[in-house]
Amino acid sequence: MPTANVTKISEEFVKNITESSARLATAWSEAVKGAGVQNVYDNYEKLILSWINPSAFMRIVDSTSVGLKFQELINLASQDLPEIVKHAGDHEKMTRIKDKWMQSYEKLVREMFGMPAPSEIERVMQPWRSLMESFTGLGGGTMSPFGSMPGSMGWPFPFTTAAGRSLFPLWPETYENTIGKLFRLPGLGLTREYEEGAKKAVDAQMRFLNTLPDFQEQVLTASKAAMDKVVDHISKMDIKQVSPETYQLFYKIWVSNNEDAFIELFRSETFCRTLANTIHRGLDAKKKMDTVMAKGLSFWNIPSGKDMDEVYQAVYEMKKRIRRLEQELGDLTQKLADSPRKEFAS
Amino acid sequence: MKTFDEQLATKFADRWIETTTKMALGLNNLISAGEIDGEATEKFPVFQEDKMTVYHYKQTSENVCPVPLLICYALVNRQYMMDLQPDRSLIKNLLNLGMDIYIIDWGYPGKMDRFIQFDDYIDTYLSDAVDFVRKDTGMSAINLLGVCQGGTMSAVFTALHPEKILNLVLMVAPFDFSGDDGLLNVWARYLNVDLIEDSLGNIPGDLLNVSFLMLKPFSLMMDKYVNFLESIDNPKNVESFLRMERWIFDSPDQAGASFTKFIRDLYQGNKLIKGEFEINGRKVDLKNIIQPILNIYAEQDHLVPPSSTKPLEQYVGSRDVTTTAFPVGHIGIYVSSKTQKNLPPLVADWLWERSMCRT
Repeated sequence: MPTANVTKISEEFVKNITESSARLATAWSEAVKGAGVQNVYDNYEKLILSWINPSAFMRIVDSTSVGLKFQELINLASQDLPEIVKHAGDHEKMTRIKDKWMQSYEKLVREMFGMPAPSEIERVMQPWRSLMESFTGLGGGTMSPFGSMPGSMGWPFPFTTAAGRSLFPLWPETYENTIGKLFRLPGLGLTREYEEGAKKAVDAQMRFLNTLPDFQEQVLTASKAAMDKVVDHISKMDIKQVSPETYQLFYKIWVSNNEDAFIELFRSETFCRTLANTIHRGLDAKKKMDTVMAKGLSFWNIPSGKDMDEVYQAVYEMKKRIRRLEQELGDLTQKLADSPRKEFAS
Repeated sequence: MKTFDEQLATKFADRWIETTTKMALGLNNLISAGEIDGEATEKFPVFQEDKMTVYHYKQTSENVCPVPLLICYALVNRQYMMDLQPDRSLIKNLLNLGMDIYIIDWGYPGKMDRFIQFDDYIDTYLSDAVDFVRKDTGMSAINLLGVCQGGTMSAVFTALHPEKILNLVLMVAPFDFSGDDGLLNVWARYLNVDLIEDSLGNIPGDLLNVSFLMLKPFSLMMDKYVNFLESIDNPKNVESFLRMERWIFDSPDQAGASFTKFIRDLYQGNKLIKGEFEINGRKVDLKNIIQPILNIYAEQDHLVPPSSTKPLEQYVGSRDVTTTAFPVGHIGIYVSSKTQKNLPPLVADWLWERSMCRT
């Protein structure tokens, strides 16, 4: 069967990649230790090794769309709804179903935050990705904790497990203490300015990505609380038999509980701070990226964004001036028209 | 006789057939809908300045109010929400009730417009639009209707130029930004708006849309579309839905400098009602507004909560303030069929009464 062959090839491919990546990571780690700085990199090594496994890799490769993940969740609900109704009050069974749903739900949330939403966001993100790619291509890949970045805004945190989630607070701190320091080293030689700009841009992007786990953790916690409420609500209802109306009811309960949970989350001070921090770091990264791009493009005889802004500002000021002069001219013309005509004798 | 399980299976099968048929019809409706464009009511461009255009609507009534009405919409989204389709058009209904209507279309700011200040929108564009309508109709003062952010702008303009405005109508417009019931109020407090302007220049309309969708994430990003599927087999509903969808995502970018001042001084500083807001170095004193005011708000408004609209009465100099609520949301006030029955007569009667006795 061709499908079986594809699966086999795919498995081997994944195995090869993950094994060689693990070998590289271990060797790299050993080399760093040999340089006498092992304490700084201990946490980083653990992190790398925890990510490099077939399931984490496949999750990234397998990322499709929110729609498909949502379909997965709905399918799960369709399968389990009769079970919930049948075993209402069975705590153990309910917990198992909740856990299963949460796993599917977490995939959905991951997809939602991993996808480029509107075109504007995609446009803003594009230069960062290009920079990361070029940086990796230039041999900086070993310095990039993510290797080559997956498509879009995704990142390979294994957050579908509780252990994975415990990495959330660890990662930003580890980054700041380890790899982040490399990006803040001064540049040398002919390309010093460009190199420093590029490193600052990558550092800013990493700091932006570091805010996302915090963002995501809050979303997942709110989702879990909502899902608990949904299952509790349904299991307490007196449903004798699952009918089409039961599914409609389930959907309504699901939507209203999630809406309430998310609005409550969005209103909280913690979330507002996280949201603002994420936006600010993202914008800071974009600014730094723009600086690098402008530097790179300065070899070409084309105006930079800064040049164009100067032109726009000059046009804006000129328009204002012309308006003012037109107004003065109009006032003078009016005054002249209103004043009595005088004949001047020569 | 069928067993209970057989009955249930039949029920599921019936629903499946019903849904499949509906989707097939719906798909056909979507394909047939074609390009959704245009507005319901005929209008003509009469004045243009940079990207701003003032339109004049064609009269439909023989008995026309002597004082023209200029509508100032928000810079966010587009003014055609007020004239979305014939059976959901506030403009059409007001024309039928004898209003002589002009409307401002702010256009789509481009990169070149990033330095336009909020002060320019008030002191140049809105001011010139008002002057044009005054000149065009020969009236020294006109009626001004401000919608949402356009309401805030209209109040600011009236406070600075009270002699040019006869009556002021405000719809779902924010004035007091201190409340916590509006999520936009809360989020805005945490933003470094200078950094946003500095890094993006103009503020992309899509970014604003994302924040609007986050106000009701599951309703606006999921439930709305699920409900749409319920009525997808009805061509009229499909067209209405697509019209609304087109409007919602037709969001101009915001001129960076103007957006920054609006957020920093109003959302963060709440300067308007504190009497600290300035336009081109002049303090905006709401006490200067002595004209009659009709202040309309939506009880279920999630964008501009009632707590932001209602307090205006305390801060203006006018002794003729009518504050009225409608039991709808921010958008429902223009498009709900129930509101369309009551809102246009309320506005028209109020304006007729005050325009006749003061001209």
